[in-house]
Amino acid sequence: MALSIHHLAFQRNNKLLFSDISFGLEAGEMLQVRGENGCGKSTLLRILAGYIYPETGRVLWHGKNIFQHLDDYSEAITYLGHQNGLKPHLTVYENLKLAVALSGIKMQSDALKNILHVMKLDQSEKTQAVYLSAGQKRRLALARLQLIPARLWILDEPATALDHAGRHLLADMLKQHLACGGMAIVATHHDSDSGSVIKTLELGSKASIYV
Amino acid sequence: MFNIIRYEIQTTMRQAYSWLTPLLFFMIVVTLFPLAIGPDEALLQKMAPGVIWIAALLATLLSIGNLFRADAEEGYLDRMLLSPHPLTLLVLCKVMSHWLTHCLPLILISPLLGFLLHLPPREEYVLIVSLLLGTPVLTLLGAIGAALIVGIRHHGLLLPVLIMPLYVPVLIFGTGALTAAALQQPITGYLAIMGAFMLLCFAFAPLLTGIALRIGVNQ
Amino acid sequence: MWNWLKQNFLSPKSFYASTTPLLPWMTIAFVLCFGYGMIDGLFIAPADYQQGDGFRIIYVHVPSAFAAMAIYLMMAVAAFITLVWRVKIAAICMSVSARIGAWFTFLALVTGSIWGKPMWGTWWIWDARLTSMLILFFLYVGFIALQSVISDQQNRERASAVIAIVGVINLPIIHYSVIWWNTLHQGPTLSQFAKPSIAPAMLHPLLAMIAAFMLFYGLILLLRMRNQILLRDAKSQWVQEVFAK
Repeated sequence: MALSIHHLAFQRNNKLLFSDISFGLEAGEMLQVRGENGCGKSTLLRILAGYIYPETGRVLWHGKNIFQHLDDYSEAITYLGHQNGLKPHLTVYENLKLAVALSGIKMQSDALKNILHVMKLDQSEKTQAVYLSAGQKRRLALARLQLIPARLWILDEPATALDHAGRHLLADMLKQHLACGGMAIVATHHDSDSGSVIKTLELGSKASIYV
Repeated sequence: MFNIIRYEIQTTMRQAYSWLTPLLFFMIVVTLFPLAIGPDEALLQKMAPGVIWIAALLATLLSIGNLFRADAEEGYLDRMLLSPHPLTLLVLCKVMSHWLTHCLPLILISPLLGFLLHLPPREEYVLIVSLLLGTPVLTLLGAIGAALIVGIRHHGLLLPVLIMPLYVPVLIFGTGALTAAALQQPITGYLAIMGAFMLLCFAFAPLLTGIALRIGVNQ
Repeated sequence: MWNWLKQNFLSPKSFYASTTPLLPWMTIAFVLCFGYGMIDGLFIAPADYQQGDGFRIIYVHVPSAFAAMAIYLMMAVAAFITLVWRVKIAAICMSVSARIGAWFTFLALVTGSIWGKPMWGTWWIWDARLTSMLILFFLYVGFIALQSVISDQQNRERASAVIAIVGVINLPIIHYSVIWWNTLHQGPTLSQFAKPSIAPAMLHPLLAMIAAFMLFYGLILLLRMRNQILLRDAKSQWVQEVFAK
């Protein structure tokens, strides 16, 4: 198992959010996390991204506890939360260049412009991110997924604010990622039409995992 | 690395109010003192080091509270934590860009304010040097505070309350250098100690700031 | 040794159980030390040749100042343990100690002030020790203020742990900076305040009072920590059993 979770539990201010969550994920698989608002989807994803320390339980990446090997694990994942992670006063292009600098990879400007084209953001290349629409900002955030090679994608409601074309784009990206041996954990409200959903984790009163 | 600093600076410069207002605040606070104490030249000259230093301290404190705020709100902080670059280094980048955009203007205008408070030219030079050595310490320690309050919505004046006790040593030696200069005494000891503070802060403050950021990112 | 500590004090439940038998003994020790210290210090020890009977306030001032600093150190150690090993008991100890330490600092400042009036003729003087104590008071209050603002328990404990550690690292630097500052701006009153060597007859009750204050701290610490533990685990079975008894 590339990613395995054992008996994960978390409580906030003495209130138990979820307990005894266990599952495994292999290359090419996607886990869809569902549940109502406030049932702990985002918290679970943040634990899996290494931001929050769980109350009990372990998260293993290739057999190693992620919290003891956080540096290695961080390099293998990309996390996209509710916010877009952008610098509002930098232009779209500058945001991408910053993403390149932050992730320590090297990328030519042609490749960057290509990504902008794929994400349908070429018109807004020189616009400051603060002036983009919500959907455009989300697409810019998703552009990061194209930029940085990561085995595991952890996405918290990635389709928020996306229009139909945007959702289609996201679905294609996921399909391609999984086909190349990547893994994904996606929290979502509604049914995702990404096609290759392998496993679903339902949080809340009827916490259960099914394929 | 240099690119990251460059983009941080660009972000700051594009919001002119963020670095301009602390500068104006600095100038106004210094101006308030003669109004409150009276224009007696000898008295102003004696108080000048303390007044300018405290004004610089306050201006730095009030602007550094928001060092990580925008990043946290936008989710950029999450990305910093996942970056292969060590968090300590990224914090240092932010601190450096903040110092360049916020503290450097203060240092550049301080001789003018010293002149207004009847500070003799020889001491103006010491003023600049002491601020050059001292403001990095103020920024580095302030960054720890900024990281601690990053998730708190209405922190009010919590940051100054937390960090000002830590400013006491650098304040004592910064103004001490100026007092010694006024008494024609050697100042190298004071400057050496301030240099030591700066190195100590460079060594420890970004690390502690990183720890505080990892804690605060989940609020 | 570590295993014994881990077994008996690490979890809130075992901490509660292990400290129950300690309380009566600590109370007795405190009463003995305090009694001896107060009686000897206030009535039996000879009057200071320079300051007369007024010096007797040191039997409260010095122990509270000592406690103020010792408690901050304890708080910082607990903070370190909280950050590195995520031990809940350490977090509780740190939070409780802060409030107790703040009170001792306040007491030290007030008694220092009271001592000052007959000595220097003024209620307050900016000498090194009092100024240091004042800054220590601000460090304590800052810690408590930070705690009161953060609502999430885990973040509150870890963030305040960071500020406690930052404070303890800076404390010696602040202390020596203030001493230096004081020598720079020396007034004529400083020489009066130079510490003479203390006679054994005066020293013994002082040591007893210091011990008494530290025992008092330990007692209050344990009592409050036990309260906190009961509050936190209120819904668990072992706490229900404690209440049932």
